[in-house]
Amino acid sequence: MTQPLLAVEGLAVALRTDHGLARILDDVALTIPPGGSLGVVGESGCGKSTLLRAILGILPKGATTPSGRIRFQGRDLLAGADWARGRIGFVPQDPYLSLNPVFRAGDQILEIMRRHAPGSRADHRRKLVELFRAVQLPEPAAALDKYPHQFSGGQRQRLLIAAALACDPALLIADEPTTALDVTTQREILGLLKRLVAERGLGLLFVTHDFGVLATLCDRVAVLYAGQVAELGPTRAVLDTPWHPYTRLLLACHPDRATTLAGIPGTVPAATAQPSGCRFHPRCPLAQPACAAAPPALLALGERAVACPRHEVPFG
Amino acid sequence: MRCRLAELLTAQDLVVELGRDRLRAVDGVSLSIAAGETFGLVGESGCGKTTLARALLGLQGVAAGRITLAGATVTATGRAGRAAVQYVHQDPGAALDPWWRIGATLAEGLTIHGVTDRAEQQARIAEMLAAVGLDPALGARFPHELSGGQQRRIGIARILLLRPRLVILDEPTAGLDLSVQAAVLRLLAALRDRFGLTYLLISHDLGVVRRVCDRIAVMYLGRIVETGAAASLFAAPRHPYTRALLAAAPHLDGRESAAPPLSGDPPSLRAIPGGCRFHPRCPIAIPVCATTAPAVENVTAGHQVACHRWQEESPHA
Ligand SMILES: Nc1ncnc2c1ncn2[C@@H]1O[C@H](COP(=O)(O)OP(=O)(O)OP(=O)(O)O)[C@@H](O)[C@H]1O
Ligand SMILES: Nc1ncnc2c1ncn2[C@@H]1O[C@H](COP(=O)(O)OP(=O)(O)OP(=O)(O)O)[C@@H](O)[C@H]1O
Ligand code: SF4
Ligand SMILES: [Mg+2]
Ligand SMILES: [Mg+2]
Repeated sequence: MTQPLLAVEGLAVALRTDHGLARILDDVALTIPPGGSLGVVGESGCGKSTLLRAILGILPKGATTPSGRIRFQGRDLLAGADWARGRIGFVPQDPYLSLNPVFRAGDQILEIMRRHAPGSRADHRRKLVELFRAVQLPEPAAALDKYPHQFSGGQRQRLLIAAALACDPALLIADEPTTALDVTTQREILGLLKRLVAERGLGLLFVTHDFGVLATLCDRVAVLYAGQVAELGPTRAVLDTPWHPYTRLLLACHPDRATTLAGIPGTVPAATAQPSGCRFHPRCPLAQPACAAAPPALLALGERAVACPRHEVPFG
Repeated sequence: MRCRLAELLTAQDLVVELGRDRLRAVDGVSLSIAAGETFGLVGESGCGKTTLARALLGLQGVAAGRITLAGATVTATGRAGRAAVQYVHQDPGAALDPWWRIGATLAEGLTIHGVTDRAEQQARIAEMLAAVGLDPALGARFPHELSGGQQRRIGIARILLLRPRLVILDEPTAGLDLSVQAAVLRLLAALRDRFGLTYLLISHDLGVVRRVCDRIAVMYLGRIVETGAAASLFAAPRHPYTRALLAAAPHLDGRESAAPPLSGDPPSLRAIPGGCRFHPRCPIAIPVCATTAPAVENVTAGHQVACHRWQEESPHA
């Protein structure tokens, strides 16, 4: 096997809060080969952004030192991620909070390029205009000199996608990067990313709530629930025949499949009060006493893995 | 379908110019929202939806046109009398004060709107947090201690607490997982029925718009190009841009959309095309499209479109 681009093993992250220690991530494992694309889905608050932040070494202040292993291109990231700065592009979840309002958007990105990309400022400007064009910003050359507030919400999101790609990263980590885009613009962006994956072997780690985007872009998917991997496998297989009861219920909410606005009963547990055993058991229609007693292991079955021994039982 | 009720908010020939070079981000928009309905606004990123919303809210001066609220003209400036119209911000992080605990931000909103009794404040806040699917204990946290979806739900709760008559929701479900999204949409519907609210819902999620809106307006480069009942607009879109939009949604099975992507560069406010603004990217444009702006025509009584060729093409996307 070739060396994975990104390998995460046994990752655990906890935060000190007023209500005690919050175990946000627990024993998370995933790998991405060069040119591979992994989508991460899961209910709001389940730890997706925290996973990305742990990989990037930008956890919030109250975080304990994460345990486990994170390796990028064979080298350790947990001890410090500075060496990988230019090689990993990151699109954060909130474009509003990620751009400094008092500097021109172009200057902010050019500054990142100056530190991490080879070439002169003129080269960088030329390259950035090309990227602005590729992410469908109107008048790409003029966009360089505008301030963040002069862009619309979706335009700011595309600025950040361009910024993340500016240093030719080997891995792009993106947190819900197309939520502010209409579907025709989104389609162009997904097309661009697919080309970069195919032509340059860009690796993708992509958090999304949109199963259509997931199906279009990612070859594998990890389903996270309450900080743990519930299910992992090729996107096609997981979407066609979801195994974990949580995945099944989540997919049943999709407008293509749902007839009502039902949703999954109950809410994601607070990270300071994780249920015993399987963390999904209080909401699971298949739960049995054993589910509350011991946490289920992640069973590997061919290319797929699922953390539920009752994954073959249909809903009654 | 709901029957037509009294008009709550109307805009006539609204024009909004932005920045020193006075770019026309909204250029002659007319719309009318009936009391009690959910009115959807969709369109390309950057076409002027948020700018239109800010103008309706009185947060953005208008260069021309008229806005009425419950029959009375509201002046182009000043927020007086506008407490009845509230806005749920597109960027959840922008609406919350980073230095204040969530509960304090929510209570402050109530205080400003005249609810000063501490016990009543706390009761309303707890009820609203539960309604948006959040643990009331989250009130003790700071905004940065919340996930993106939690922040967005706080943004919705903050506004609904004030019980306005009309709420402009700018991308209220962006970044929410399907389960929470369903819960938020259920909540919005329940509050609408309970408090007689009216919604203007801006969204890129056509699945959401289709399920919750009574009527929809489609915007392209500062203008409304098609308006109609949600059912008829989705079943038989008439404008080529509407059709392109409906055809571009990604599918659950991962298959590529059969329709070709929109050709041409994204439009710029600095160089607005003459004639029909969509003509450089329109797959069915004819010479007249480049020279003459199409008038708004009735497809049926409740369905309007601005396109020279709406009658000639099969309405099915
Ligand atoms: N600084 C913090 N202090 C306490 N709790 C926190 C802090 N940051 C995050 N959390 C909690 O950790 C959990 C995971 O947050 P995270 O942002 O990773 O979720 P997410 O899966 O990205 O959710 P979303 O889809 O809503 O963005 C949430 O329940 C959140 O409230
Ligand atoms: N202060 C400003 N000065 C100049 N141009 C601006 C300013 N604010 C917005 N614009 C431009 O006006 C246009 C409309 O912006 P608006 O935010 O209304 O779009 P939108 O339809 O809400 O888009 P999105 O779906 O991406 O949020 C955009 O092209 C934007 O670049
Ligand atoms: S008026 Fe012409 S260019 Fe405009 S949408 Fe209709 S056919 Fe296309
Ligand atoms: Mg997140
Ligand atoms: Mg907007």
